[in-house]
Amino acid sequence: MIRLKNSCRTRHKKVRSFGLLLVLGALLGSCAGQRQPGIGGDGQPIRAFKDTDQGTFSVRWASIPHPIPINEPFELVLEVLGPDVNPLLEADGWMPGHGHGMVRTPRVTPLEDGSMGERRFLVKGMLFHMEGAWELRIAIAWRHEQGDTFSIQRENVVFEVEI
Amino acid sequence: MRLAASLAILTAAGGLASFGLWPNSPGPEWQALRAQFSDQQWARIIRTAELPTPNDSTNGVFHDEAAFVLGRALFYETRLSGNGEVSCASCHDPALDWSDGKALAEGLEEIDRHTPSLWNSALNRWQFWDGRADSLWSQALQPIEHPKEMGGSREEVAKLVLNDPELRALYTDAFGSAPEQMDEPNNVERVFVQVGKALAAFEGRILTPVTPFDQFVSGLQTGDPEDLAALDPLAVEGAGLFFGEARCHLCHHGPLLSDMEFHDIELPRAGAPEPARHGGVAKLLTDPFNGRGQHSDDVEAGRERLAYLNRAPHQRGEWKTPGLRNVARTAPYMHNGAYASLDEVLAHYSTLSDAPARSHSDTQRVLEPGHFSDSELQALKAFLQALSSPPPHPSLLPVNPKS
Ligand code: HEC
Ligand code: HEC
Repeated sequence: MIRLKNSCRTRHKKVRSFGLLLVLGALLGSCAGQRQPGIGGDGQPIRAFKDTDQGTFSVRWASIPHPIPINEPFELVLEVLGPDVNPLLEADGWMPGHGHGMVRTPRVTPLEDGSMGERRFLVKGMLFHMEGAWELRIAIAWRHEQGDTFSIQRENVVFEVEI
Repeated sequence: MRLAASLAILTAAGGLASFGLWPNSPGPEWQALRAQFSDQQWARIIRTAELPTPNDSTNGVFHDEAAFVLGRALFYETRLSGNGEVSCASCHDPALDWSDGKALAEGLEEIDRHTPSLWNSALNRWQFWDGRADSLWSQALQPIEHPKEMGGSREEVAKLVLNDPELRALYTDAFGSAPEQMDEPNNVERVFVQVGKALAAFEGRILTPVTPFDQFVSGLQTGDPEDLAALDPLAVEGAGLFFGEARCHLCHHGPLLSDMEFHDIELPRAGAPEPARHGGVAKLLTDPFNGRGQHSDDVEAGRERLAYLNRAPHQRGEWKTPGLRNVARTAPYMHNGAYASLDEVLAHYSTLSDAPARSHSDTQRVLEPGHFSDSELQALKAFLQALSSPPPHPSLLPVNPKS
């Protein structure tokens, strides 16, 4: 397996001049900025990638709008670095202090790969209906083949968000 | 240095800074209040300011004057009911803050739900205690045909609207023309839906005028001592509790003092929890009059509203958080009318002593007994009373009240 963690891959894909992607690029900041947490020119924090629990993938995110509003729908852009598998993503919110999650099931749309070869996803239907400490829980599942059998692998990464 | 100092002040003002609001020369009244609330309480209080303007793109006539006039006539029209005696206003009486003062509603028969007030219902995300409707217009169609509420039928409603000269004229004003033929099912359904949309245009204006609390919040933003005096010290203390320690704000927040979603607040009950929101989601998704159906004027927006709904077992026993504006005048309380007074409501939140035993699978831990002292209970009540507005605007009352 190729491990691609916190490294800027050199593979450049042709990115169509697709308005959304430009916005996303701006939202997530440049690759060079990723190790230094701070605020980018667009007001979004420049985020670091975080590894999934087994270390197979690295994930980072940005919200639209930023910061995440209380009790209003928002969208997420997720970027995933990792081996060349076909990952399925699930995004969910959880309030560890309250023992409940979101009142919605968000939907994920794959976007075109980014310039570092990172996979990009748009998550619609997020809603944090209460203020307080939330966990943004991302699960990545994929099909792992061995000979003519396969299993479904699943790894998680959790980001803490205070709204 | 000066910059650092003003930054420090802005930081101290917490939430204020982010709202870009800062009194010109805050007087001693303002400063005393500022010191009384934490940054978080302050920001939460400011977030209740100003009701948004309601909108519903699935209803093409939501903002139309002619539809409002038709809707007003229909709202007070008893002939929509099976026995000609029940109108929307029988249960949602403007003189009783658009409710009925009863624990359980009574139409043709008693039903097992308490009548919610219609103040600000146009700002709800979901309608009904279980949220089984996604718009005011689709909501309005249900009581008309409910056998225990109005016991009417879409055929009879269409016949009435098209045959009664006055209603027919109002309908034509609102929708351009009225079908001549009403025996075709398509026409019947269409007129029925338009009746719902006109009722919604009327209800869309049932918005609470400014309350003492709103005046107070405005004072927090401008520093105006007169506005700041709109709440007496007991109510101010109550606001501090509500948006702080008592944690009411977790569910009752924003301009409506509601998160517009569903929770189980452990009201006393006999037996297993009712389907509540769990059933509401199922009904909403199969409602032929929902926002993504053929009668919607914006199917795309309707789809988006329903796209992310989830259905989970914990939703049994979860009811919609009601808004709290004018709550002091709308007793009894709760989906089942369980409590006759605010004192009883607050006693429940204080002790949860009447709550059903928590089952093993209950994972939610939002609600904890508040253990309020007597003076805290009085303060919370004074705050809730400060959410009372002037009565409905005369334009919302019937034009020719029947004697
Ligand atoms: C028999 C009394 C009765 C009549 C008549 C009645 N309602 Fe209601 N209304 C209720 C009750 C009870 C509920 C709550 C029912 C539930 O949640 O299951 C309700 C709920 C509502 C709601 C949802 C409010 C919210 O906050 O969820 C609206 C809006 C409403 N009614 C409007 C109307 C209109 C418009 C009419 C006339 C077409 C009408 N009602 C006729 C008793 C009545
Ligand atoms: C966990 C969320 C939650 C919290 C916390 C909460 N409430 Fe509620 N509240 C609700 C829900 C949900 C209802 C309706 C419950 C029902 O009908 O079954 C409600 C109903 C009420 C009502 C009755 C309104 C009506 O029109 O029937 C009042 C008054 C009220 N709450 C005040 C408070 C106060 C004061 C606090 C803090 C001490 C508080 N609430 C804390 C969710 C909450």
